[in-house]
Amino acid sequence: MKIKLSVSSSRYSEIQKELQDRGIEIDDEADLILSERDGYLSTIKVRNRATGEYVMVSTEDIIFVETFGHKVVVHAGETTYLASERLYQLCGLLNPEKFLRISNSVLIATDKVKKIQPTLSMKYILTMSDGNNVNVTRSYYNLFRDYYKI
Amino acid sequence: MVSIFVFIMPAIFALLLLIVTVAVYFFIYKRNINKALNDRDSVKRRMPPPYKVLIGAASVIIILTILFISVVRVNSGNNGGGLEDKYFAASYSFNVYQPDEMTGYLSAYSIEENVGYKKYVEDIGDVRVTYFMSEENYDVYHPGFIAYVEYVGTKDVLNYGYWGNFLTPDGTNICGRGAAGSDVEDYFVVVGSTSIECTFQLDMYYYDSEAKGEEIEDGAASSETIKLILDPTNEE
Repeated sequence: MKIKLSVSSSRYSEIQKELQDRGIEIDDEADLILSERDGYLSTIKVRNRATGEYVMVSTEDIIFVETFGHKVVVHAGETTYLASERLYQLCGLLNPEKFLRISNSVLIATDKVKKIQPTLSMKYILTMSDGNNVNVTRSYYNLFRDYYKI
Repeated sequence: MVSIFVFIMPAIFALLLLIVTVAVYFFIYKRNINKALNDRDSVKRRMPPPYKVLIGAASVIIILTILFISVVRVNSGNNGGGLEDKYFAASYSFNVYQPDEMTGYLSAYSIEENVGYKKYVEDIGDVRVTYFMSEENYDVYHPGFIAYVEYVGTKDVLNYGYWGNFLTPDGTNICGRGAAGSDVEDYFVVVGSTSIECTFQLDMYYYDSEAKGEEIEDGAASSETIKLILDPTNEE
């Protein structure tokens, strides 16, 4: 059996040992995820889109995450990465006080929003700190307003 | 007919007002939310989103515009059933005189002939109308028409009544008035004038008794109508 561990770094080693002693293999590509209650990731394992190299990216560096078909693209600084988790899984793994879902395909770091452009419809256009624009869609419009109290 | 401007001008104004209102609100709202971006913890009054303001402002402005146009239409209707503006700006007048009232400048006019006027005679039922139409352009000093109305019927009529109306060329009423009860004499004289091309319709009533009805035509032993085509510019 293979399990991916999604726990805080302080408990990672302890839990990893317990599971391995019981014959459970730890694999970051596994479909089953064991996560900690109220425990949010501080880093995530992603693959560099350009080089294909696997790296650990701090969640503090993430600007936003978007999906293209089956691909989940993580924008962190000037580099883009591919994540193995689905977007809805990342929503559960990342701290909701720092990350907010703004559409069916985009998750943003709330402190990385540079500018908000309102429209005459139920939509906002956000300019992120790396210059990319993302849209808050109708379904997430009120959620976004409540979060930022606007 | 109510001027087309009654509809177009308020609509244009309403649209401009809506655009300006929404644009100003949009600018203020954008500034407000970007301020909130950097200061989420402070307590502030939340502004409604622009789409709600657009819907609300558009609704209010549309309702006010419809009310405004309705009021203008009602007033135009009360002023003559949709007359064009030029008829409101024109002048109309006529007076009715007994023969012994044709004094002063009126004494210059005669049932026989009048210089500068073309003479017409029409026998209509029991009434003969000898009328004179000015051959000059309209001016404030000379009447546009003078009509001598004689009863030539066989009934013993005692007094007469009249109703004079100015009408547009297509028959829409502009203004009018009437009276009844004066004694029948050789004739009565209608002297009138207008500054715009129109028709003067004179309804003439003769009564053989003193009895009066509610309407001017009630009890009339004889009633006839004549229409005079008035053209103050005297174009051919």
